[in-house]
This record gives sequence, C-alpha cells and structure tokens, in this order.
Amino acid sequence: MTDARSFAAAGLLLFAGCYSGVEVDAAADSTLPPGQSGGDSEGSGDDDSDPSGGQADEPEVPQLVARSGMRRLTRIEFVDTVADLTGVALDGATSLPSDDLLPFDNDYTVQAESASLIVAVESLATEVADAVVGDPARWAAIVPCAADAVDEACFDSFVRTFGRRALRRPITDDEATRWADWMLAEAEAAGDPSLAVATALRLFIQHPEFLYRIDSGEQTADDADVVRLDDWAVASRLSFLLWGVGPDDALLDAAEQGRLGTPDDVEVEALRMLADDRAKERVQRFHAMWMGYEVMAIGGDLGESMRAETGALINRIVFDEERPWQELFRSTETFVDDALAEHYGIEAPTNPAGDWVDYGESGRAGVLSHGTFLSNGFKDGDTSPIVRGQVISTMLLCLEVPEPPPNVPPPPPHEEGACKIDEAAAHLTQASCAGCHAMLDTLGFGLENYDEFGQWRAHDVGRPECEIAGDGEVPGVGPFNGPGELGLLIADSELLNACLAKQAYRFAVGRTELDEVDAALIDRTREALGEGDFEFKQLLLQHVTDPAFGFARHTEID
Amino acid sequence: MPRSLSRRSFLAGTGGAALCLPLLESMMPRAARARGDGGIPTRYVFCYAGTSSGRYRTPDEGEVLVPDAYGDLATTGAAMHSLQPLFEEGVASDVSLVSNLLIPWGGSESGLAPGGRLSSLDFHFGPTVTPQLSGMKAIVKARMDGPSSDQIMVDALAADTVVPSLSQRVQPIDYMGGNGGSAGRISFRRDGDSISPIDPFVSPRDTFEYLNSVFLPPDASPEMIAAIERRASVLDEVGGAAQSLMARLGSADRQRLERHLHEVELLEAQLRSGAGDISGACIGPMDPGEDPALGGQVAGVDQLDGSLGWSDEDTRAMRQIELIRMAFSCDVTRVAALQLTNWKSWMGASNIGGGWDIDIHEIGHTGAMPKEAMGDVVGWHVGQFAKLVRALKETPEWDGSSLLDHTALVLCFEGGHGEDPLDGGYSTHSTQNMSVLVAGNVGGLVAGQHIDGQERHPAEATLTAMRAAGHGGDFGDFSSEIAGLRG
Repeated sequence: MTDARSFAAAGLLLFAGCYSGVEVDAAADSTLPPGQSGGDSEGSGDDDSDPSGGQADEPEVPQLVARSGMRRLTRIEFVDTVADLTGVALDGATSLPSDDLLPFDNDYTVQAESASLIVAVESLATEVADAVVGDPARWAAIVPCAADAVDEACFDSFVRTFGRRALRRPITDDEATRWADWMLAEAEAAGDPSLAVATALRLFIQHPEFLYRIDSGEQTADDADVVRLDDWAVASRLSFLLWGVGPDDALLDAAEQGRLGTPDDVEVEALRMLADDRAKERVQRFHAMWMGYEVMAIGGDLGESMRAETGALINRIVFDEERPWQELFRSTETFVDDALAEHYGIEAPTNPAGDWVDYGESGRAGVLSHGTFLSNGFKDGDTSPIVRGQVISTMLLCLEVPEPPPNVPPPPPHEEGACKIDEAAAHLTQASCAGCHAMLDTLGFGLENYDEFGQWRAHDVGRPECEIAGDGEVPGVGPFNGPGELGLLIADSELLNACLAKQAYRFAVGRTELDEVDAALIDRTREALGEGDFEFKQLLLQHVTDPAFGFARHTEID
Repeated sequence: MPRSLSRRSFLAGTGGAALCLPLLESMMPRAARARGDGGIPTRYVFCYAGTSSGRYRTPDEGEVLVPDAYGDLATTGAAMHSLQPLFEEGVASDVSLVSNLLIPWGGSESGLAPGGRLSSLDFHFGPTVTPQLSGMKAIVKARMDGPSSDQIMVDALAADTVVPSLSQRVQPIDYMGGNGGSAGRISFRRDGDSISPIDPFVSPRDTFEYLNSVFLPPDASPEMIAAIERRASVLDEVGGAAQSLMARLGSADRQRLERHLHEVELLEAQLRSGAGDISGACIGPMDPGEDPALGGQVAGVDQLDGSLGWSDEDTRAMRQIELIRMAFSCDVTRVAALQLTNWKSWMGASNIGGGWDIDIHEIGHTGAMPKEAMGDVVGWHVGQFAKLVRALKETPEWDGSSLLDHTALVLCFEGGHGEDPLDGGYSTHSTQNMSVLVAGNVGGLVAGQHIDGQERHPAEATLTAMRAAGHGGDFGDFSSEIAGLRG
C-alpha cells in the first residue's frame, strides 16, 4: 500500500490555472481509485502523510469555497443514469425514497439513509441485471462478447469500461482482479457465463460511488476541510449539473487525460455538453422545479400541451436562438396546439399539432402567462392569491417573507358570501398580519384574472358580482395587471436576475440553505454577468468556470 | 482486506461445499430467544390516516366517526358509518375511540401551546402531523424536531431485534406527479443532534424480500442458497467499498455513509443468518407476489375512474398487514409504523365503499358529495386498522395468548372536524374534535370504549399507548396520559 501511494505521489501532474494542480496520473497507479492517493487515513508517515504534497507549485486555493456534501442521486437522476448506462428503463423506480421539491429535488441535506433505500436499490440492481442479460441488444451494447462466451478478457474489458462510467472513475487493477476471481468463478460454478456480468451489474448499481456523488480529491494545505477536486469529481459535477446523469466517455476521457484542470478546459467540455439534448432536458427541468410546475395540478393532454408550450419557449430562448434569458418573460409568441390555443382563447396555430402564435392583444406575454406557471396556487377548485404571492415573492424573486411572530392572533373568521379580495383585505386589519399579507396578497391578486388552468376570467368562481380587477404590485418595482405585465416588469428588474443566480446556484450545489460564502459566490456570478440581460448559458458557464467549482469544503459536525 | 469473514471467503475456504456461518447472537431468531428468556415481547404499532374525520362546512349532517355518547363502543358506535369496519372485522370490543381531542391554535391567548398549531404553516404540512408524530410543535413546515413515537419505542422494545423497526406506507405514490416527499413519511429517528426521516417501504414485494432474508426454508434448494449467497457477496463488496470511502469524507458525510453501511450490513447479516425460527406462531413470510400496478395521476382530472389515483391499496394494505403480523410473530421486529395514506392524500376513492370518482382530499373539501363519501373515506382507514387488529388477535403466541395481547396500536388522523380560524366552522382543516383509535391488551389499555378526550392533545393518547407498551418517559412536550384510557 505504501509503495503504491508513493508511486502515485510520483505521478502528480501539475497544471497552471485557477484550481488545477494536483492530478493523480491514474495510469501511474491503477491499484487506487482517485482521491485515495493522499490524505488516506491508513497512511503512516510516507510522502502522502503530508496532504499538501507539491504545494509549492500549486495554484492558490480560492478564498471562497462552498461547503459541500455527499449527494445521493435523486430518484430521477438514478433512473436516467441507469438508462444512460444500460438502456434499461426503470419505470419511475417509485420504491426509491421520495425527493422533496425545495424547490429543487436534489438537496442533499435532507436525504436520509434507510433500510428501504438499501432494499430498493438492491431490487432495482437485480432488475437492471436481469434486463440486460435477458435482452441481446442491451447486452451487446455494453458487453464485448456473447453471453455464453464471457471469459477473463471479456469480463475485464467490461468491468473496466462499464465500471468507469458507472463509478465515474477508473477501475483499479485490484478491483478488476478481485471481481474477476470472484464473479467468473461463481459463474463457472453455476454453469452460466453471463452470471459474472449480471453480478457485476448488480454490484455497480449498488456501489456507493454509483449511488452517491463524492467530492474526491486532495486535501489542501491551507485548510484541512477544503478539498481540491480531482478531474473525475469535476467531471461528475459538470455532468450532473448539465445533464442530470453521469459523465459520458468523452468527459471521462478528458478527466483521465487531465483535461479538466483549468476553467478553459472545463468550458470546452461544458460547451460540448450544452449542445447535447440532455442539456435541454436538464434546463427545462430546472425551470419546472424553480417555477413550481414540476408537479402540476393539471394533467392529461392539456397538461402535456402546457408543458410542451413552456419547454418550447425555453428551448427557443436558451438553445435555438440563444437570446437573453430574460426574453422568457417578454416573449410575444407562444407555442400552442389547437386545444391549448382554444383553452387560452388566443389565435389558433397554423399547425394544429403545435406552432408559434402571437399573443396579440390578449394581455399575455412570456412564460408567466403559461398554464404551467399559472397552475401555481391551485387550491380547492380555485386559485389562492396568497399561495401565488408566495411563489412569486419567495421562489421567483427570492424575497424574504418572515414567519409571523409568535402569538399571532387567529385571522378574522371566514365571512360567508364575501368576495375573495374583500376576505383577503380582512387580513390587513390586523397589524401583525398586514405587513406580509400586503405583499403576498397584492402580488397574487395581480394574477387573479387568470384561473388555475391559465384561462382568463372576469369574476370570482360562480360569483358574477365579484368582479376581478387584477391589479397587483411588486414591492419596490412597480404595479402590474396580469402575468404579461408582471413578466415585463420583473424581466427588467435586478430582483429577477439576482434570484435566478441564487436559484441556479442552489440547483448546482444541491443545497437550499445558503450561508455567507454562498452569498458571496452568487454575488460574484452576478457581477461577472453584468447589469441587464444575459444568456442562460452564460450563467451556467460562469458557475462551472468559477475557481470555486473545482473545490469542496467538507461539512463537519461540531 | 475484507471487512469481515464474508460468506464468499468462507465458501472459498471450504471449497464451496458448506453453508454454515456462525450466527451472531443479535441475528438469531427472536422468538426462540424470547422464549428462552421466559417472556413474550411487547410490540407497538403507529398508524396514520391522511384524512380528517369530517368534511368541509357541513354543520347539520352529523359526524361519520364520532358517536354522540361515550361509553361502550359496541353500543355507542353501532350506527356510526366509519366505525362499521370494526364490527365487520369483529374487533369492536378490542378497540377504543378517544374523541374530543384538540391541537390548540398556536395563537391562542395562552400563547403557543405544547404541540400547538402555528398559523403560518400549511395545514397539511406540519400543524397537525408533526405534533401527532413527535409530540412537538410544528415550527417549520414539514420539519420534525423530535423522533416519532415508533422510534422512541425502538429504544424501549426492540434494541436487540434483527430489524429495529418496520416502517411501511400503503399509498405508494402521491398521484400528483411525485412519490410522496415529506408527506410520505411518518417515522423519524434521532441521529446525534439531528432528526432524520426514515423512508418507508412502499413495495410489499421489497418488504417481503427484506424480511424474508431472515429465513431460509429447511428445504431450500442449492440454487436458492446460491442466489442468497450471491446477494450477500455483493452486499459485502458494497459494504467494503463504503468502508474504504470513509477516510475521504468529512464528518457529516461519514455519518451518512455509516448509516448506509449499517443498513447494508444489517441486510447482509440477515442473509447470512441462515435458517430463521419457523416454528409455532412463526410461519415465515408468504410470498406476496408482484406488487399491484401503480395507478394513474389524478392531477387535473375532474372525474376519476377505477384506474386513477388507485394502486389497489386494499391489496397492498393486506400484504403489509400480513408482513407486520409475520414480523411480530417471528419476533423479527417489535415496532412498526404503517402510513395508510399520505399527508393530504390524493388517493382516489373509486374503489372505496360505495365508489366515489373523486380523490379523498376533495371529498373532504367539496360539498358536492354525499356524507356517505366522507364516511367511506374515514371508514376505509378504520377498516385497515381493524384488519391489522384482527390479524394480531387471530395470531397465537406460544403460550396460547394472542399477538394483540402483547401489542399496543394507535391510529391517528390528519385532522378533526370543527372550527378553524382560516376556514370557519365544521372545517375539514380543523384541529378540534380530533380522534385517535387505540387497541391492544397490554399495559392496562382499556378496550372497546368511546372515551372523552376532554380537549386534551391527541399526542397524549399516543403517549398512553406508548407507556402501556413499556415506554417509561414522556413524548415530546407531553407527559400526561388520557384519563380513562388505561385501567
């Protein structure tokens, strides 16, 4: 072990750049996985006992390094990564633990480990193995020999190739040898050569380095809690952020060849990945979770049409035309099919199955006029202006809405027959409620002319006498009437841009609760993007090329 | 270096001819050990229903669950729609109903009451659930500040069982695009200074495989033994990989991975423990077969049919109840949590009672459905509880007593039926007139009665059952029992 680690230390490659530097030459020591060449607690006084090995030539550790933690693949990441690796569709894998939308589904701080997780993963791993063994096409896609001809060479090739993708790092000689000895013997005893591959697949899917994303790398000399990520970990960060699945072979090749050591290197790979359809899906999903329609109270064909509408706009703005992201909120056109156009009461598309149409004088504009966004606040067969106000303020604009103080009195009793806006106004008669409700209610009632399905309406449900004015106001920004005006208003506001930066950061780091370091990093991104409009890709590129992207601060328990 | 003597290593050393690993004491079949100790273990089950006990703004139609009078439940409850399953299952004399319970509004003049409801929180995600699960106030939406009652009972009852506790959920998905989130959990344990959720088993098939791993039939074929060995070997390798990662992690991550490793080792040890004690009342698990298909989403659907919002929860519940019965009878575990429906459940009611083509959350809110619909929804939950009670009642212990004679069971509801400051009177969002069902002939629990809760907190009914089952302490903010629930 000592010899091996000394050998690894001798294989360090040094790169210039913001966060490059210590790279383990995997080819130099294939007995150790990345991240185990230094700082290994089993070490005992050899060269690696000094985690700063080679520090004199290392680039400076950034002052700002965000805390990070082990991230279990979300249910969707698990399913998508398995499909990406094997072609096996796990049909939702609902036996895996649920992921809360906070608003994103990847907050590692709320993930928990339970027996049900272990059992579900074991069961799914068996399902994957059975599906591959039972399907010659899937088998042929990942195993370089026939199912009845799995010999030592074939198995070795399989575990090294597939294992590298599954575990997102090279398979060591030790592992390959150990697994071959075990699994091939087992298969031979059973008289079924394919069993070796099936066992390996079950291992890979249950392996902690498949199930969890781990910040592997080297401890830095200045701060024992800060890790300089190795290229494999950088590849994983990049891939899960941009694609929601593990790295492909090209990205792993880049990691293996030390081509993820500088921001320029990372940018090259990021641009390649952003041109892939997987990035479109990932960016769409980010928006769906952020804007609250990932889980939508509108199903069926209409719901699908609405999702297609919003997805088409995001693709157009972010990818196809590469326009400023803020145009999402200003767009005068929308992508609808016949049914959705009729639902909204706007011009029918040329192609009944779906095409771009002009909003005309409908009062609509941009994504906030879509049924997807307007489904926020669905409650008891109507809209809740308070909930919509919360969505706009806390999720879309990142405004702080304080919790009511202790001993807040009960709100005024429900008054039968009162119009919604009058009932809401009663909240404002109580001093302890007025502050927050003035903001939330005013925001929410600005969308009140649009019901929970995104259709325009003139009055409360079943109450013609309760006409809806639809006037709202964004505190400190200005008044609006309807989702179109709200979109135009906030698209020009720094509030929206700052909130996007914050929410994208949360999504990227997989953590909802932020601290002062996070805030400083977000500010840095905002400053780099400058005032006014910017492209969404710029935001992503800014994040992945920031010096902090290549580092992690371990979270310690006091 | 292997972490332990793996079965793979063992088999290699014996030429693969033997399958006989030494049993760890902690992995031995419990029933035999319990008998050796001369006693029968006590068990605890916490059940949860994601519905209120009454529907929205229906002041004149009467209750569906709570009888007008207190006293003998078989008499007072005979006409109550939602209590009929107790009679149908023959357990009306084994179950007590505690009604007139109250989770006080947090802003009452007396201040924030223990276990009180904070007005700022969405009704469904904290104000009523958190206090009932943990006996503590809902301070932050969907966050638990204390362990749930089942996990507290693990310390009292099950420290040395193979499976410390078994948490299951009947409703497998939320029918609105997700698979539960926080609304799909009712078990929370203390991990150091933090409270961690325990994700329940939602697949009876998975639960069966998990529990079945303890047992190896005497007539197990070589193929079956080899398959178990392969599972254990993979888990051994997974555990070794987790162990080797520890040094690379910060302490927070290490704590998580240690928990993961613990669960992996537990399953591996179960597989390696060889033959379970399949004797007496312990008959081992029956293969439940494949899980029923998942139902469709109810999102945006005005009128359901039998395929939407329904994953054959009747069959799922039946299988999960059977798994609890088996796990108790074989002393694999002594603590169970059974979440019948999610918080704010959108399960469809097409297959419930008279068949209502609408989800159960909407039944609680809409005035368009007849009273019977609400009665059926509440009754469905009572029915599952009754089936569990019956299953335990009909399962003998080795001394001729029944499992029910050694078990305390609780069923809580998400809401009551009364005034709510946000919704007005007779609201399904009310925390007045809440009810708890309690069963089990252990620790002096009174059975077959309708008991006046005297506006005490529902957590006190749970505490009463916990103490009856052997818990010696408090429950979150609560230290008092419900008068009349224990003799």
